[in-house]
Amino acid sequence: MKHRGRGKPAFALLLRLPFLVTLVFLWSVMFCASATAAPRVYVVVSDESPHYIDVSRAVTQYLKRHYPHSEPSTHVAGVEPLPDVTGSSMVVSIGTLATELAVESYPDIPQLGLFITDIAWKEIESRHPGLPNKAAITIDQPMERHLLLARALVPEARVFSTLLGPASSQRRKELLAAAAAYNMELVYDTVSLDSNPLRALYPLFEQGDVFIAIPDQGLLNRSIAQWALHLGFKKKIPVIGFSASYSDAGAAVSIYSAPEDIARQGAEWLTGYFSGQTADIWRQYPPAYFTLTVNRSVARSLELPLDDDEIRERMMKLSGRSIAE
Amino acid sequence: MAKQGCRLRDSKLFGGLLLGVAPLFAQGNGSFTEDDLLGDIPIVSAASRFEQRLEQAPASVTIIDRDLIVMSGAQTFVDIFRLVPGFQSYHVGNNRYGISYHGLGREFPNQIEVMVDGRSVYEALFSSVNWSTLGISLADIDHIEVIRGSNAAAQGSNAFLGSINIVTRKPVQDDGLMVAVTAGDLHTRDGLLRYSDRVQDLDYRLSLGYQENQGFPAVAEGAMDDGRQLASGNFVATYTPTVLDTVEVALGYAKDRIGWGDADHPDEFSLAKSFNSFQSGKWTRTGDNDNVYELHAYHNRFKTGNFEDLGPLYGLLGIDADTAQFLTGIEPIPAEIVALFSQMARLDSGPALSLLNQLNTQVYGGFGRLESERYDIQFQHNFRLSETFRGTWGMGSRYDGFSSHHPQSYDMDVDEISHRVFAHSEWQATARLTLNAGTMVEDSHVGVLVSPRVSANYQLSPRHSLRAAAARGNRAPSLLEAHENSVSRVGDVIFDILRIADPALKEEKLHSYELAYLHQMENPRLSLDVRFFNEKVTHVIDEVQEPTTPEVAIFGDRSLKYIENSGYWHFTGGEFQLNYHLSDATFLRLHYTNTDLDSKALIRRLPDVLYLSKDDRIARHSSGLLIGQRFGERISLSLNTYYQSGLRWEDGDSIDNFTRVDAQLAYSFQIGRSHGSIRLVAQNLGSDYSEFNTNNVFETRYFIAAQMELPE
Repeated sequence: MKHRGRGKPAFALLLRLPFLVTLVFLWSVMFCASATAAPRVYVVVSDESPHYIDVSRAVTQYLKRHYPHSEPSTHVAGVEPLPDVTGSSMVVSIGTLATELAVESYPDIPQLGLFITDIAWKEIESRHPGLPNKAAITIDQPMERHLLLARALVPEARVFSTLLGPASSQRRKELLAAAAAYNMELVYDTVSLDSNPLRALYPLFEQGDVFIAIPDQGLLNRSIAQWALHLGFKKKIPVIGFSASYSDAGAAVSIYSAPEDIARQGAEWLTGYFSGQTADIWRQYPPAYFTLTVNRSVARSLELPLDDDEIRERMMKLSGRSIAE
Repeated sequence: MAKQGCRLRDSKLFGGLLLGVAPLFAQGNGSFTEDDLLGDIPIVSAASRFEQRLEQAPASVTIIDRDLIVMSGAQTFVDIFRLVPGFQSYHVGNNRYGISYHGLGREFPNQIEVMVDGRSVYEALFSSVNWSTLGISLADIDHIEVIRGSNAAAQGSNAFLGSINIVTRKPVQDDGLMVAVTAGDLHTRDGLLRYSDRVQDLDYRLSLGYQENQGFPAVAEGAMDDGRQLASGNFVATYTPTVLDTVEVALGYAKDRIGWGDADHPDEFSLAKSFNSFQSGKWTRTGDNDNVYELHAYHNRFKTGNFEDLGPLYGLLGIDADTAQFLTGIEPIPAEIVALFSQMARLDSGPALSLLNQLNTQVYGGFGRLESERYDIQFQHNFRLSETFRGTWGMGSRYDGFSSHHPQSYDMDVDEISHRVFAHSEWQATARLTLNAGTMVEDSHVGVLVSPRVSANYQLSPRHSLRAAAARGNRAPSLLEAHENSVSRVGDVIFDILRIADPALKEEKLHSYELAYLHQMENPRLSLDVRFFNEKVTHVIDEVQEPTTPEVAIFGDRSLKYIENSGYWHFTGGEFQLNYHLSDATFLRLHYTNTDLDSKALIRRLPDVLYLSKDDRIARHSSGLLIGQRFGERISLSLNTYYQSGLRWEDGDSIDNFTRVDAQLAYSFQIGRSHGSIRLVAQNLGSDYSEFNTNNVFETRYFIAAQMELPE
């Protein structure tokens, strides 16, 4: 089961009232569309993978409907030469490859990168420092959101555990700060490709009440996922994953930003841009919307909430309390 | 990993740009992209030897997981494979199973490969699988991957019509002690002790099992003495020195005492003792770019003995003890007696004298003492060349040895070393089209065999996909088939010849075509898998009967059976399986198969050529319906129905159609950290039916099974 919701407390009301959100959103979109003339938009995707195509389709449909003058066209990076883009145009790149190619090909064109990781975006920025008019909506979930989900899933849990790899270690400070903010006890270990994964994981599953999988390099993810899910089953400890396939494989629940989540946020950003907003928009944005996927079979066996709405409600309540505290 | 599309075109701009961004996509440099976040957890590996999604696999796949096994109330492998469309799964005896896919229902079905964790358990001794002595219990199974259709391209000659890989639970999945007991009808007494723990960095599991039953109930002709006592054990260990490396070791044994015989003659059942052992070691190293290296070596050993005391030879010749004493009482035997006996037995004087000298010899039936041994080593490398192209290649060598010894039957010692190389690839030609191609090349005792397969999978939408596939398969005759020379003799007198292999015996050949449709839905969870098949088998290895001269067959069957490439089968039909989670509490599984067989078998050449159709040797219709319903967190009920239309079993009897209904009521409970369950299983709630032979009467059976897990 999936549910998309906005994790930040300020948007709690919106989450509770999705119908109202839609009305307000459409009204504002229509208003902005009629008020401004949009530049020509070129959508570049990394390849034809479903998740890229889903984002692309949602963005172009939105643009065609509300900004027909933008004449959105989609181009597959690596399959065809990128089009010539004039100075008054806008580029929406989807995926790391597309974003990198677009940054290289159109250094002076306004560009919004979607569906890209925080690290990949920072690497692109470091290779092309000082480029103007570049923004990105990344897909890494804020650490705070992972911890919030863990607490919402198992309210009585006291100790949360995770395993960090070379990439996720770079977010250790963010993780520790989030744990401190929510007054949570966190145990973690750090591994590299040369580490014995089970030696690192066993203590984490013995000490922790919930295990939170933090995404890292794919090579590490696959191995850690396999062993963490086995240990989670054995120790009857819920594992929180970060992709739909993680839940399919046995994680009690996964949290991630699906293509439609990213597309929605991208559409909002474009609405703001086309309406003339310029202040502080050329920066990196964390994902505002997220999807929860519950493996009901696992959740049932661990006596966890089966309903993603219920988990979402709990997250919002916890979030509000934490801020109040 | 779900990668779609990306048609590569010749573009200098594209090439230049790709070079510019290449560093970001080389995973080895520690970059972390959306691909890392979206990486798939593997679904299927048996079809192509690498992990694939079902909709991208080149063959139809059925996954039987642990939940399904438990829900079905399965007590044996026969019960499990009745959950799979197209399978013929039957009791040759109460404790001897035949499991085949689209093959004829023989006593020893020999056209499907069976593996346990990738270790082939196809037994050269029987040209089949001895399910009794696999050395694992049903509770050790994590899931079973069944390839419906020829998988010779991936798994070699024995996977001619399909393949099965039984994946056992990894030691890291369990904790502490598990005790399971089952008791019920047929005087069934089964027990299992399993202990899992971790020592230093080694996760291990030790299982000890025992099974006992008295076999099928007695019939009018007498008791069906086909019970069993089986003791088995296995040890499995996993060591993960690094994130990239996994070492797995497995050892096991099974010791079986079983009543062996032909159900047509209950009085002839005799004890067969079998012992099976295996050792297996596997090292897997995962690299970047989806590179996986695997080295797997194993050893199987099987030996069995069956001797039936038939009494002195004179008794078999219909001579009473007094007459035998009269004939052999004087040394040397007078010429007059030799002449008399020669006339009685219709033998020349030389053979008649030899036979007279052996009249008091004790004669044994049964299959004697048989031993087989296999050593196998294989290297495999999975790789990805681009976002849209990946594959695997590998090579392996195998030693198979086989010996047979019997006081009055044939002695044989044969062995073979074979080699194989294989390669498979998957190319995502477009976002919707996936092409698979692969082949297996085997250097066997009948020459070099090439078994290729190609498939095209087209995704109509994210939930609907089609597949068209073509495969050619070759099955080399097993050591037994190629070398059998069943000559029964007393002294130097041949008194019967059962089977002789044609010295020119060659491989069976298969041409297989299929069209398949796969539908997968998330909410509600539903999957539908439909397969239409057209499978033509030529050069089928079968028996051809020829009359023998009186000198050869003194008693018993006076026909000689040659093992030849003499048959032809053509299977056409369709099958489907549906898994449907109607709700969190309700599950339904339905499958159906319609198979039409067009066959021709050469029965004899003399005195006249006779061909026979064996079209009735396969069930035209078979289907199964399993419904599982959960009532709260503790109680569940399941109903499992299986229907099979009538057929004439190849080595058994004509059996009418039957419908079998099984039911299970399960209660699970928790005591502290310990989890337990009690299951009441009823098999065949309807009227009695026969399995394979009319004397194998399957009555209603009741079992109670209890299990307790005691984690440390």
